[in-house]
Amino acid sequence: MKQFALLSFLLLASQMLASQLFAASSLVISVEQKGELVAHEGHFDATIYALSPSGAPIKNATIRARLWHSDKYGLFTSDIPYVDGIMVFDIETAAPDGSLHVDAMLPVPGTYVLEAEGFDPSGQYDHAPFMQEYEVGQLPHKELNGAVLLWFLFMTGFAGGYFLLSKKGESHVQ
Amino acid sequence: MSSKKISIRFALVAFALLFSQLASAHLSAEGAPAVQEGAPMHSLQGGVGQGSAEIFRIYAFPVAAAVSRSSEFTVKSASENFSTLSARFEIRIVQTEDEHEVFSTSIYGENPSFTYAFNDGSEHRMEATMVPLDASAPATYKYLLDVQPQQPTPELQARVLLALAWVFFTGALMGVWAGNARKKARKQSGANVPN
Repeated sequence: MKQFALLSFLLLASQMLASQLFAASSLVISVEQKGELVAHEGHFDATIYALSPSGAPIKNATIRARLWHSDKYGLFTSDIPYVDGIMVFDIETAAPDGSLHVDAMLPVPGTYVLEAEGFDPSGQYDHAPFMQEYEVGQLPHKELNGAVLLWFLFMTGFAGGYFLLSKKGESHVQ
Repeated sequence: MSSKKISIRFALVAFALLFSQLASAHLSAEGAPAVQEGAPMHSLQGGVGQGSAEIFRIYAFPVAAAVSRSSEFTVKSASENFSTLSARFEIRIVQTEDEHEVFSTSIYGENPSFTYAFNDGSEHRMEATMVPLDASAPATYKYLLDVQPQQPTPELQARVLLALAWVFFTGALMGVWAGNARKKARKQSGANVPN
């Protein structure tokens, strides 16, 4: 019994070692983002590279990049009339120099997810998925406008409750 | 056989033939895969450096672009002597009103395409510059896109109104509570004051 267990362990270990030794290495996706991440006025200005494990650009690679807005608020929206969860862009293109440049305005604040994939046409490197989140802030004047509106509504309700309803209660008491 | 009977039979046969053709056309249309090619956009100014002949076209799907809805644009050759594989296409989209750039990228390949969701319901201009890989003269085509503004859905409007009403009524409840507290305090202070 012990011999059988030892034999199966050796077989498993040798298989794992062989798969590690002979597996094709994956290409690496690297993203350089330069734009200011602010809704409406900021830009997602990025260059997506398909690189070999040593860091050299893979010529004639195919790159796919998708940027979408994460629908994490569920019932609420971060900026009417836009609904959270929109796809900003989706590009799949051949990249002769191993890079893809995209510059897109970001419509709403919140979390954006960049999904990128690289494919090596020569088959030397495996396809590599990539995902990264970007937090995009709201414009300061929009935040201020929102805060003023909410404060005005709250205070109007408070004043109405304080003067009208409490007076009505007072008349009932008397 | 009278001529009236012959004409009725002829009409019946013609009707049966027409019906069978319509039925077969309907069935073949059902079985055929849906092709989403879109429609070619009309360029305002094209072929700079290439004469007036249009060498490529951009197809848009859906035809009418709208805010928050993805539009797919595909570059296709419009000339037998031109292949999209022989050039890089630099795409730039600007808002016509203030020339604000909202999107730009470069695409390559056979009939390269990209998807973009507009976020402003106004007129946009797409500039597609074809840069040949053999370093010959580039050509820029310009297209106008009338992006339809999108009204928030009734559901979204209801949600926003509900949230605002919630803020108002929270304020009102706190106002009632504060008013009653003040009234009680006044009563207590009135009872404590000796006559």
